[in-house]
Amino acid sequence: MSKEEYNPKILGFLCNWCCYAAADAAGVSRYQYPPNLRTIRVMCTGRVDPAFVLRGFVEGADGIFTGG
Amino acid sequence: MGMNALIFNVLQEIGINPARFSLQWASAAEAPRFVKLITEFSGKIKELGPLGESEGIEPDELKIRLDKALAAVSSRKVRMVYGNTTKSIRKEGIFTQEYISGVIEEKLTKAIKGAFEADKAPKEAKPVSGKKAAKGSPKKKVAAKEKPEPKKPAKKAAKKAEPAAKKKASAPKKAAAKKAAAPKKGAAKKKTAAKKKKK
Repeated sequence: MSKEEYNPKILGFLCNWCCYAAADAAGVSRYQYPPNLRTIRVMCTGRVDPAFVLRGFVEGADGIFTGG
Repeated sequence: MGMNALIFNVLQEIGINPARFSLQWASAAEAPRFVKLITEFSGKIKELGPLGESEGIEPDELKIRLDKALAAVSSRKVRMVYGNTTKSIRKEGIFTQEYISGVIEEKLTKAIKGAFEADKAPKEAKPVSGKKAAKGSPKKKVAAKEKPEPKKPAKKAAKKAEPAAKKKASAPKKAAAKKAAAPKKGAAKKKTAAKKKKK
């Protein structure tokens, strides 16, 4: 697989009230952004535990984005 | 932000580029900012390649290390120290990233390293863990043996004594109960009879 074709798996923990809504708004207003993000909605960024992030890496994520 | 610092610490410990994790803020009204953040992050990860590639870690080794890291982060000691540290940060009331990272690094590196070493010990050096187990377990066993022994005879004696006492006590009790119940029944009967009469 060449590096140009490579699509990283990015896991996103998005806060329901901030980044998740921002992602929604970005979709509504048709901003283009890379499709590599797999989103997990959390009710607050404070809910995200360090163990969640490491678990994400164990399960095969290449990068993890936490959005508050 | 404490979580941020803790994860960076753990990732560095296992040799993974901390840039693979990012904690950012964008409000609900900041869609362009969110898009910018995601595009940047995605580009960065694309440059780094799959997990372990830019770090030069083999997939098998990577899995072992990640499992270790997960176990370390989930361990009770690390979680306790982490919770106490965040509490102390809240008390101090200084919320700059540098300060929080500094405090977390200062207080948690020891606990994290301890958790990693505790993980390594049973895998790498089995005799040590065997000795530890040998040292630890007999004491517990002895303690476990000692405790029930004195209790059992006492219990038996108590049991022996109890039935006798119960028999004595129960006989008058039953009689008393019967006596107590009898008038009640009688009273109830009278009441029903009275009701019937009324009807």
